[in-house]
Amino acid sequence: MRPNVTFLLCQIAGFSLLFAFWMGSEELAGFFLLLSLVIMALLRWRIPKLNVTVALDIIACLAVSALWGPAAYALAIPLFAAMYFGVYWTAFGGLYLFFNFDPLLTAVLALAALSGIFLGFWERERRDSLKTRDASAGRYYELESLQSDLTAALEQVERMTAVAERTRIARDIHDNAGHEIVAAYMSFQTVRSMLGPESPETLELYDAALERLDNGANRIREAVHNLSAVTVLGVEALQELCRRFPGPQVALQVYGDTTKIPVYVWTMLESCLNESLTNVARHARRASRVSVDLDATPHLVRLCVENDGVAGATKRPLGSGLRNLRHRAAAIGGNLSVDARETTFRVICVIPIREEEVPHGN
Amino acid sequence: MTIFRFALLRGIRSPLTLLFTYILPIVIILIRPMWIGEGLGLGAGGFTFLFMVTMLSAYLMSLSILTDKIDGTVLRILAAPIPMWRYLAENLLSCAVPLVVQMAIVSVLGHVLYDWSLTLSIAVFLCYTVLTLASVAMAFAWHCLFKGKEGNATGFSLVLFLGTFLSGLVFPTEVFPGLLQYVGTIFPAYWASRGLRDVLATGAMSGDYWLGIAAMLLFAVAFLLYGGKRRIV
Repeated sequence: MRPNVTFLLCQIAGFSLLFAFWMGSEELAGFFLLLSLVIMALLRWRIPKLNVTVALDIIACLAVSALWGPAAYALAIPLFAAMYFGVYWTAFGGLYLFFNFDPLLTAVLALAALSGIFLGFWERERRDSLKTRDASAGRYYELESLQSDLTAALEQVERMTAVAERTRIARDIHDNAGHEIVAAYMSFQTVRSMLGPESPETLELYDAALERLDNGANRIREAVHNLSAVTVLGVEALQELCRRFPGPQVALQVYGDTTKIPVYVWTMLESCLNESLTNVARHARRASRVSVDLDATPHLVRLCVENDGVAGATKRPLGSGLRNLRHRAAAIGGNLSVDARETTFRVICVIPIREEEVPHGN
Repeated sequence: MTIFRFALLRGIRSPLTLLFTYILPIVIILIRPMWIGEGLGLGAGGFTFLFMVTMLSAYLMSLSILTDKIDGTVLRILAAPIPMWRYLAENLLSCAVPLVVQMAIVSVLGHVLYDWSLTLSIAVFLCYTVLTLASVAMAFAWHCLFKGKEGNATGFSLVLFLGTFLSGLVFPTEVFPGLLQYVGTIFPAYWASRGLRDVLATGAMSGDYWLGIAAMLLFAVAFLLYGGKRRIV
């Protein structure tokens, strides 16, 4: 049986005994004392912060004991509750014994107080263990959520890396090989007009070669087209997120050379912006402006998302989304911080760019 | 006061509630043999029947809280920006107000029809008003104990039966053996009957009467505290 249930049963037993005492005497003061004690017990049950009111019960018992003797025994009920709640200073009720010493009463009060102390410690220990268990469970679920986020992020980075590589190959073919072949084809066409009609076989072979070269150029063009990514990357991805945001218009400002930013950083920035805008939609419905600043320098990139719709959010703990992003940022050597003021709320993500990384995304 | 108004209308629409709350109290006060002779309305007289009607009416009116809990209405109401205490307060008020008005009418009619003194009329009105509050609070606490209507109604019938007999309205509590003389004290009706007997005997609102009123108020507070703590969702 749990200690709080034991406490409740002990209190009910106490009230029943007091009722039995009252039936023997029929003193109305006794009945009203009993009713008051029940009401105060219900009040403390309803509002646990009022536990200290147990002192009033003790005073009531002491006062009524002048009219009705058994009220001194009723002291056991509030004394028991006071010890259970840890309101030890209310033990002043025991002073009654100095003026009206009674061995039986002393034994009853001592037993009630000791039982209350024992049950109180038991209950507090149980609550502490519950809190510890809840905290452990909370940490477990948070880690699970972080693991799930990291797995999803890893998959996204892999996908984006493949897309970025295909884009790079398509661009290389288009900018280098493609242009060279087209230039060669045009040169051959010019040479064709300079050739005379003396050797028809030569001309026929020349035209066939030109046609094959034209076909080759078309094939290359198609391959480049097929290799080009449909998914938007880099700054375009951030612009797309801002454009699709259903709340107030999002002002995106980009500073610096973003071509130096690697794909995995873009993925992180995209997740950060997405989470920040989701938070604005959920918690800052009164926001009139949302601004997004992206600063790219040769050594680091900084994303700042600011809104004016969250007032007084300074004391709120971070949600699991931002906490997971903070872990992800830390995993790649960066940092995510939150700057909550009276009128604005900022999420700032700073990620370093290592020298050896080859820029891809944009 | 939307919930109050709606609960009041819902009470009027129910034929049983309409009968017990709005019709029977007036009918009882109009039946002359119940109010004359020895005991003046106690025993098998009008005061006893009024008590039963009050208890039953409080039960029936506050049954809407249980109905709301069972059919999920309370969930939908609380989805709106309405705090729980307001929902409960307006519902309980809608149970008490019609009964209090009825008791005022009964007191005035008693004064006019049976020559009740002004003191007796005021004492009856005050006593039944406080009894109504305690009964509504008791019925509310009772509803909070149950999740279905069947056990609830059966249990309350038993409580009503015991309350009527043990509280000294029908027979004086002295006629019961030993322990049963005191069991009635846990019902608010015992204190109502005690107060009324005192007023009828002395013709004035003296100490015992006010003690009865105080006890009933304390019972109302206790029941409200208990019912308020229990989950109604």
